[in-house]
Amino acid sequence: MEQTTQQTDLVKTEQTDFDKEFHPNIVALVCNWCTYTAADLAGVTRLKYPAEIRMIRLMCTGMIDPRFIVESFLRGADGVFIGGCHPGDCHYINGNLKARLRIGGLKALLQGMGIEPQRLALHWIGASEGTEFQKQVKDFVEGIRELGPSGFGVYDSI
Amino acid sequence: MDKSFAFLKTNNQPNRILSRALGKLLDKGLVSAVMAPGITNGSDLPMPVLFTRDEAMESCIPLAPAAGVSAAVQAARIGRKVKDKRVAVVLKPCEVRGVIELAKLNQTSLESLAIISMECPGRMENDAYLAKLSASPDLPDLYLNDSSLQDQASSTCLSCDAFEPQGADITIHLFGLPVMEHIGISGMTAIGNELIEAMDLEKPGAAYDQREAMARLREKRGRAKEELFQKTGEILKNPDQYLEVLGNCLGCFNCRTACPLCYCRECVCARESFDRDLDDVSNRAKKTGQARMPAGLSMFHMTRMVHMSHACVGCGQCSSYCPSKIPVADLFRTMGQQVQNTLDYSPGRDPEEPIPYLRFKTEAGS
Amino acid sequence: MSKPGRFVVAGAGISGVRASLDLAETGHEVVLLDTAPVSGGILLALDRQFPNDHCGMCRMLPMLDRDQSKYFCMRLGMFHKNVTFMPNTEIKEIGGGPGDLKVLLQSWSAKVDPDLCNGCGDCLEVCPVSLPDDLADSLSLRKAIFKPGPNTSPSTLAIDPDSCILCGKCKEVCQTGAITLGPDYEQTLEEKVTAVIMATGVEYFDPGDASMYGYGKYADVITSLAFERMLSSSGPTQGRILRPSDGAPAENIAWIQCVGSRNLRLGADHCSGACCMFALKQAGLSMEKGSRPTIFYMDMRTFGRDWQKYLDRASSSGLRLVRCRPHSLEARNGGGLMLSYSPVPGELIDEHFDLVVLSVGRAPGWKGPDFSDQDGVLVTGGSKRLLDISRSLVSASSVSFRAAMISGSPVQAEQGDSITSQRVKVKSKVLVVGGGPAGLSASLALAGQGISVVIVEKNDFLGGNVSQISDAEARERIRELVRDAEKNQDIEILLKSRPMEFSGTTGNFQTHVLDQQNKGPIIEHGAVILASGGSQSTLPASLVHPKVMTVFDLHRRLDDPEIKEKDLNCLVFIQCFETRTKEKNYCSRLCCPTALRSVEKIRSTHPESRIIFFYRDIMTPGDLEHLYTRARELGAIFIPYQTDIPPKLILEKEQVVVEGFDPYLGEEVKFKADLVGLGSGLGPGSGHELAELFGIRVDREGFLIEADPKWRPVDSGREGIFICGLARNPVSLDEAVDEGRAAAQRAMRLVYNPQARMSVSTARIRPALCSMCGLCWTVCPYFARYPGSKGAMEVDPLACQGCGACVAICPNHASVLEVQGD
Repeated sequence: MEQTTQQTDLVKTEQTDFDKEFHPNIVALVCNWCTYTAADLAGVTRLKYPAEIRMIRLMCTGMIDPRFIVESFLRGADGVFIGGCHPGDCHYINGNLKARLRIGGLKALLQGMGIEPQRLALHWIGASEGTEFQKQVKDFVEGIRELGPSGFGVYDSI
Repeated sequence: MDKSFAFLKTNNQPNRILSRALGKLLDKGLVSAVMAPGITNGSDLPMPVLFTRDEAMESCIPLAPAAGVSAAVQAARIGRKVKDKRVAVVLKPCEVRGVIELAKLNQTSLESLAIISMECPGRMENDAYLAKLSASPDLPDLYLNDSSLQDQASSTCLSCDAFEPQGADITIHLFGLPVMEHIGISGMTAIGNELIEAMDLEKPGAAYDQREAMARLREKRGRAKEELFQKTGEILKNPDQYLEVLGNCLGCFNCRTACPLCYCRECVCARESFDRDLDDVSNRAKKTGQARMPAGLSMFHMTRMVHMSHACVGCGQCSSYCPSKIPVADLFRTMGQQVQNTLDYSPGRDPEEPIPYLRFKTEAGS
Repeated sequence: MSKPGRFVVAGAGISGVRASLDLAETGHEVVLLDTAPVSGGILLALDRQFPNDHCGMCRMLPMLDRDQSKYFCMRLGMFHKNVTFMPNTEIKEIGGGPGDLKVLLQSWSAKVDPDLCNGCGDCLEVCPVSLPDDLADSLSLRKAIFKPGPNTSPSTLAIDPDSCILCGKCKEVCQTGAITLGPDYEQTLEEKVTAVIMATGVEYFDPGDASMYGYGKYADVITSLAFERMLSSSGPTQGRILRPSDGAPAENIAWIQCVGSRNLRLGADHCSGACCMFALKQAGLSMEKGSRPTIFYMDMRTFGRDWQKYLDRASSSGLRLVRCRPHSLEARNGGGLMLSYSPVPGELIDEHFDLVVLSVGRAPGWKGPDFSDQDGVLVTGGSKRLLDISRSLVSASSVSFRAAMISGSPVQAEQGDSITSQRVKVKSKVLVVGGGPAGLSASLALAGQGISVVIVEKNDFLGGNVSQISDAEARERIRELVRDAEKNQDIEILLKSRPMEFSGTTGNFQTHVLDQQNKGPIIEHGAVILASGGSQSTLPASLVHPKVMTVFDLHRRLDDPEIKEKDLNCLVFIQCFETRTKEKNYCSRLCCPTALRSVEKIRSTHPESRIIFFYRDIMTPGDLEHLYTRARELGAIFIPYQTDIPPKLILEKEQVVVEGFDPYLGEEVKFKADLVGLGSGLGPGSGHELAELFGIRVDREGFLIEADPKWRPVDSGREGIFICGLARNPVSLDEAVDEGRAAAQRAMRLVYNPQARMSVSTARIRPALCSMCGLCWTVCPYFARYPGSKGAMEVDPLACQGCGACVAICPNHASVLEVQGD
């Protein structure tokens, strides 16, 4: 028992640097057709991307109710990453373009409430763009890490 | 720009004289009804009143410096129902914008409406208006000619620089004119001109240069608006200030009821999934030792902003309705402007302009 | 009630996938096989495809009864309940007759167990064998154990038996024990099937075989297929355009067209039909990445409806086009290549390029056993010619319908299946607008499956432009279609009629058809096929002259005894006459072949006459190239012209003079013509009116627009409404017939089952909450929304695809996505 505690302590000391690093809560909303396929491709080609993202697969970015995003931030998300098909590639014809407009409006709104615009990202990532997925997610998570915790959750106290 | 418009002699009673001129439209059968601010039995608070007979127009106060409710919703109701007839509606510029936005949302049709609007000196809050009125029964007329009275308008109106109507058939000109002698009236559309014809107005005489008066007002209100947006922007961004201001929210949904744009039959925020369940609240309480109830009010306000900030016409009714005196309209307008700027959208500017979220059809790649 | 048929589809490229899905969607069972370890064919290598540079392959997936298939990107594979995919398999033997074929299939082991392999890739590192990657076409190497497709799922690896040396290293490192290297096992299986569809595709020309343009010698000379991989972010350069020789960014890129095609020296007297567009796409995409492209071409064959506009866009964004075939190239010091070419006689230019892309044509060639002569074996168009995606799919659907017809009447869907989706009653009747070849072929196909058809035809006869058609054999084919339709019990024909009012929802439409007295029935039907056709363009009044006519009229007139005996010293053809430009910015496809066919006819009666062609690009895709070759052999003279200086027609009372500029002679030329044929093209008929009536899209020129130019070529975008033939795009008779049948196939899938199955996830309106604002109506990409009679919007359940756009836009959550039985 004692030994275990010691070991834990040891591990703790070793991990201090890691713990010091901020691990953001990130929600990734990805479309079933393109970006999810790209994520899958990144996975099978063993491209490493940050473990902080919590990926939610949706049929289309056009079905993203801005409420999902608002609620994510209110409940403590530090960033929301959205990935959809390139314009013209959308399985549902133009759902991604609808998303683009909604996210545009929402971004202005969130910015008005003190959420840095970098915390909400929309990227077009095609099915064969595993490397692009990796790059965008990495950059996004790094950006959030630099920004630090969002602190927007306090708005939810009323 | 010198505007040439017809004159209506007002004999110190602009509201009464204008009412009579509007009555002529009824009398001559050019419109089947007039909806305008007026008072009905038992209350001095101007409300939208539907006039169908010339003689009843005596209780009409078309330029009333108060509005119990936004007349946009009522005008929209008429536009939606009335077919093959024309109804004149007297609306403040913000209400005109509201009707246009509602038309885009298929909640009304502009077809049967003849919209009469005015250069708007602003409205007083209801309680302030009623208090003042008991001491000064001529307040609706005096207000038009007295800038110190106009300075008592609601904070929304004092910071509103969209006081010139857009999209009206007839505009009533007040600024820079000796309103106790005469006011100006001009038709902005073919229908407007047709109606003006029937009002038996004086032929255009000396043109008034409104530029200076307009510019002064625009400058004054514009500055007030910038200051307000600046201040409110800080409130929204700063959690402490935000909580201090919105912490008083009771969750009564009055702002939503007051909003002319909130067209849903039943607000989504009042339903099912928006209800924060108790587990949620108690989880929060566990973290900090306390949690306010009811919860989820930020979610409510933000949802309303998500749905409607692009279309906010800045009428200020939400603030007027708020029992906690939260400056809801200031918050909404500040956010509205940011969203509208981003989307390059101006509510009420043009009935043909699509709602920004529907512009995907004209984008490349679709 | 008949039992479902069972079919073998050989080849799992897009044609095979399309044919399989068609059959599967109408209740049949399919064994889809491929010699490759994965499905997808060439498309696995193409990220974006012309004519819109988008993907969208997933739009091929069933729109109806979607729950039968897996809803994923098709690069991951194709999964349908009724389709069994057999990788590493080929057909050994086919016996029996149509309706009762015995097919012997042989599969070989991939040596990697798909259930155990997790795609970790440890084996890739230890495998000692390296060879050029097929997919990247020599641009990169792969191992003997490899990942067969960039996205393929499950992420199983495969071993190429031809290159594996059985060293066993992969087996040693495999942590899941997925690899078996034992003796090769082959499994044979006999399938009893109704019919076999061969969708084996085509082979691409290997320029190494003819050591053309230093391919194989210079690393910076690559094929168009290799360049495609270079463009892909899953390719060897992660999407960067680099010189293979030194990895430096490639800025100047040259495409050389017709490598391995249109080359008599190689015996390739055919055009590959898609390489021009392929090169235009690649050049366009390379410009997005900052390269400066030049295409060296012979004729820019932009013969599809939207292709000319695609070319115009590329040109206006900086693409350089040079009409000539470069004669040589060599390596340059410091990297890149020096290309020598001669754009006009006497002028030789040496130009430096970083990269030279050879637009390789198809080489004749399916290497496996050929069963195509056997009864009951059908071959898709994409296996005979290099077709673009849209034509491949049309042909595949047409062939799958023919296969289904062998099995007899349609399958009745099983009742009480385990899936709990709701059903919608549909009318088993199809309205066909237009009684030309496309409409007739659609009607006969449907009637052959026992579905009743109503043909609405504006003329007082069937057959469309039959009288205008210049080819006697084609005329006879159309007359035969007319005779078959007229005697078919299931086809009702309404002549001198037009559709006037249209309403209803998918599967339950009502159309009021009126005759010339404005009377007529209201027809209740489940689907509608618009095959309203079109006609040859009429010449403007200023060109009315006995010696001037369209190429179509001229071709027919050549049979007149009067003309045959007349002295014809000189005939002039002006191709692309006021087409492929301005108001009619599309190629009509038929003018070039018709005019070229005329050459032979003229020669038979007038061996000495001069035959002059003014042309911009001769459009003879595929085997039509023979006609062009033959016309040149017969001494026709071809003079290219530019749109800004078209040849001039000078009409005088007795004679016609054509003036133009011959760039080869470098001087003005003048011909006194006895006959002038103008390639003035074809145009659609009543496209705008039909589009308005049926609420579908139409282009500026009046062609009805499909839901997707590649993946859903005969769907209108509104479920239940299909478009085909000349109403949609200029087509040959064969293509019109194919499109008609493909449209019939799409309609069939909707109406064959009187109780069509809704998909599990569709939108629903909660009427009490709906304010009728119509936002959902505007955002719905499938026209699946309409204002209902009860003060709320309503959903067309068979048209809704569950995309959720309405849910996101509805502020009130009055529109919700509902998952049935979950």
